[in-house]
Amino acid sequence: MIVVTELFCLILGLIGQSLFGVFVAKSVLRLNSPSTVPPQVADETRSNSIPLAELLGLGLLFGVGLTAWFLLVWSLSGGELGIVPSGVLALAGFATGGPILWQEVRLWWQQGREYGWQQGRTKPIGEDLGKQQRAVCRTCQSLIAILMVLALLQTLQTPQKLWDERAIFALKARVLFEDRSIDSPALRHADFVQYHPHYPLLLPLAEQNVYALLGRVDDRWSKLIFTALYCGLVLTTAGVLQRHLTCAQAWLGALLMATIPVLMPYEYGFLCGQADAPTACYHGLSLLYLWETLSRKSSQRPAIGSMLLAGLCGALAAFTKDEGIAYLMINGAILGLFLIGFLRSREQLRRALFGMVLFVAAASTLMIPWLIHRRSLPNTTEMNYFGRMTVDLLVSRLETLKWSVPHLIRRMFWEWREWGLQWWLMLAAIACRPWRVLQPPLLLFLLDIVGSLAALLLAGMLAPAQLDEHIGGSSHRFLMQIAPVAVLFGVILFFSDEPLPRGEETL
Amino acid sequence: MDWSVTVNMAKPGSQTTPRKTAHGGWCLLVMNLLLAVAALLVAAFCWIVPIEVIEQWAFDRAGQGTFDRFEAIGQADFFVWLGRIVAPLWLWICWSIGSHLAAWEAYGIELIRGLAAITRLAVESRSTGRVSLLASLRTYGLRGLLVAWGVLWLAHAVHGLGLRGHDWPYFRFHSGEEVLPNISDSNRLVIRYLREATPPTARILVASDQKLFFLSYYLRPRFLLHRMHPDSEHVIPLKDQQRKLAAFRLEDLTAEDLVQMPHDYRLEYFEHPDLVDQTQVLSDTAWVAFVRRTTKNPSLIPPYLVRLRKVDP
Repeated sequence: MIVVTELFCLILGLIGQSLFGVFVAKSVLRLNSPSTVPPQVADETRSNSIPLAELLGLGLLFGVGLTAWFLLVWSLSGGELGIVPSGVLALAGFATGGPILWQEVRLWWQQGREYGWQQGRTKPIGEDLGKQQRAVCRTCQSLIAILMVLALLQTLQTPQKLWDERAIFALKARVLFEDRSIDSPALRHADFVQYHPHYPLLLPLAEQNVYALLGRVDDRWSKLIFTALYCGLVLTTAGVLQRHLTCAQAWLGALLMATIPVLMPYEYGFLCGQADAPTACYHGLSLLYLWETLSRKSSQRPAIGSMLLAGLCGALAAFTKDEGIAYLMINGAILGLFLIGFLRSREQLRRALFGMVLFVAAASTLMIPWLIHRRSLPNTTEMNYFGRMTVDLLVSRLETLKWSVPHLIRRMFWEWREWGLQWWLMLAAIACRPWRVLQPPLLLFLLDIVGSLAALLLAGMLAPAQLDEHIGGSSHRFLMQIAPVAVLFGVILFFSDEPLPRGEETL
Repeated sequence: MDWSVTVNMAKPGSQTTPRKTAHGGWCLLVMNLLLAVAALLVAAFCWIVPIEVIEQWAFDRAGQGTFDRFEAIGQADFFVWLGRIVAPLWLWICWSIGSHLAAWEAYGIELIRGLAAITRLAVESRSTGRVSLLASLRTYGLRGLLVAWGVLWLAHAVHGLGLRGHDWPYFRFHSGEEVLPNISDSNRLVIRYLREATPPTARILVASDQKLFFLSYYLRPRFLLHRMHPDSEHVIPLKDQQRKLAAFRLEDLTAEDLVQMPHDYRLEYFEHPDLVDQTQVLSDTAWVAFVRRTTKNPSLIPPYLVRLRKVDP
C-alpha cells in the first residue's frame, strides 16, 4: 500500500510538472500564432496552429528540464530541495497547464480524428489521398505509441547499472536528495569520490526530483525521466514537422526519429540514465526550431516563439552535458555566418539580429545560474579542454587526426549495423537533392554536424587521455548526440518540396 | 464475418470507384490465420505447460559456466511470462483483424499507397510526361533505405529483447542497492563489508588503487574521501587489474592532507598485485571473517588488501 501511495505521488507530481511544461510551451508558441502570418500566405496550404503532439512533447521535455532548472535556482536562492519545491511546481502545473491541455484535448476531440491529419500543411487534396494520408498517420502514431510503451517497460526493467549513469549523475542525484541542497559539502569537496564534478546538473536534479516525490531513493524509478524525454523528442518532432510537411510525412519522420537504433533500444540510449540521449533530444529540437525560424519568408513575421524555443532547448542541452555548450557555440557561429548573407538588406539584417538576440537571451537566461554555480565546484577528473587549448598543443597533436578521422567515418558509415542508418539517410538526401542543401535553413543542419564532428576531433587532440580509449570508447555516444540532427536533415530534405525563397531567407 | 473485399485501384490523389478483388483479401486472410494459429499455440504452451518443466528443460541445456544455469532458468521465466502476456494479446489482434477483414484490407492498401505517395520523389516531366530514370532511382533508393531502416530496427529490437531476457535473472524486481549490478565481485564485497562495519554517517578516508565511484554511490549517505593520484585521474581501469593505477598510500598523505579530509574511518583497499602487501591481507580480522562467511569458505585468504580502522577522535 505504501509503495502504491509513493508511486501515485510520483506519477501525479511528474504529470503536474509536465503540465507546467505545457503551460510554458503554449505561452512561448503563442508568439508564433497564425495571426503573425499575412493573409496571402495563410491559405489552406499552411496551418500555423500548435499541434497537440508538439504541446505534449514540449510539456514532457520542459517538465523534466525546467523543473531541474527551477530547483537549481530555488536551491541557489537558499531554498531546501525536497517535496516542497517539487510539489509546488506540480501543483502550479495543474493550475496553469491543466486548463490549457484540457482545452486542447477537447478541441482535438471535437474536431474528431480528422483534425490530426488536417492540421499539418495540407494542400487541397482528393478524398482518396486524404484516406491514404490518414492511414499512414494512424499507422505511424500507433507504432510510436507501441514504441513508447516498449521504451517505458525496458527502461523500468533494470535499475541504473552503467558506469557514467551512476558515477556521474545518479551519485550526485543521491547526494542532492540526502543533503537537500546544491551547496552540498560533498559536491564541493575536491576529495569526495565523484566523477566529473563540473558536469551539469539537469539530470541529477531531475532524478532528485523523482526521489523527492517518491520519498526515497530508487534508481529504477528515476529512469522514468528518460522515457519522458524519448516521448518528448518524438512528439515534438512530429508536431513541428506537421507545420511544414503533410501529416503523413511528419509522423513518418517522427517514426524514423523513434527508431534510431542507437537511441532506442540500444542500452546506452534512452533506456539508461546516461546523458547522451537527453543531450541528443534537446540539441536536435533546438536545431529543429532554428530551422523553423530560418524557414520563414521575409513576407512573414519573425517566428519569435520558435527562436526562443531554440534557445531554451539549446540551453537545456548545455545544462544536460558539457557538449551542449559546444553545440550552442557552433550554432551561434552558424547564425553569425548567416548574418553576413543578410548584410545586403537592412530589414533582413534587423530581423536576423533580433532573432539572434532572442536566441542568445533565452539560452543565457537558463545558463547563467548554472555557470555561476559551476565556478565553485572542484576540478577533479575534469579534462579542462578550454584551459588546455594552445596552438603548440594542437600542432603537436595533429597526428591524432590520422587515427580519429578514419575512425569516425568507420563509425558513421561502416558500422551501420550497430548504430543505425541515419548517416546514410543524410548522404542519400544530399545525393537526391544536392541543390537544396545550400539553402540556409538546411545548411544549418549540415554545418551543425560538421561543426560537431570537428569539435570531437578537437577534443581528441586536447584530452589528456589515450586517444583510442578516449575517442574510441566514446565516439558512438557522441554520434548519438547528433543522430537526431541527421534524421531531421534527411527527412526535411527528402520530404519538403516547398521552393525556397531565393535571397529572402530571414531569421 | 464479411469476406467480401473491396480495393481501390486508383492512383493516389485521383477519384475513382472502388473495385472488388480477391487476391489481397485471401492473402491477408491466410497471413492472419497463420499468425493466429501461431499465437494460439504459443499461448496454450505457455499457459498449460508448468513453468517448472520449462525451467528444468532450460537448466538441462545450459552450459557449465558459473552463471549459465542461473541465467538459463531466469531467461526461461522471462520468455514464458512474455509469451503468456504477448501471445493472447496477439491472438486478440488477429481476431479483430479477422472480424473486419475487408476494412483492414482496404486500410492496408491505403497505407501502402499512402507510403508510396509520400516517398515518391520522381516528378513527371511537363513536356514529355515521363519520369526520368534518375528520378525513379531516387524514389526506389529512398524506399529501399526506409525498408532497410525498418528491418534493421526490428533486428535491434529482437537483439534488445534477448538482452532484456539476459538481464532479467539478475534484476527481476530487485533494486540496484540489493543487486549492486555491473561491478567487480571485489567491489561488491567491500561495499557489503563497509555497510556492515560502519554507520551510515561515517566519513571514510580511502587509500586505494581503485576507481571508487560505485563504492561512493552504494555506500551513501557515508562520505567517501579519496585523494586521487594525478597520474590515474584520466586513466580508464581494465578488468582483472590488467592496468595498474597509480595511487597514494595512507603514509603518503601529509598531515595537511588529513586535515583537509576530516574522517572517522580509514580504509586501505588495494587490488593490483604490485600494491598488495601480502603480509597484511589478514590483518583486518573483521574483514577476513566477513569474506569467509560471505563466500562460505572458512580458509579463504583474500587476494587483495582491505583494512578498515576506526580513527579515535
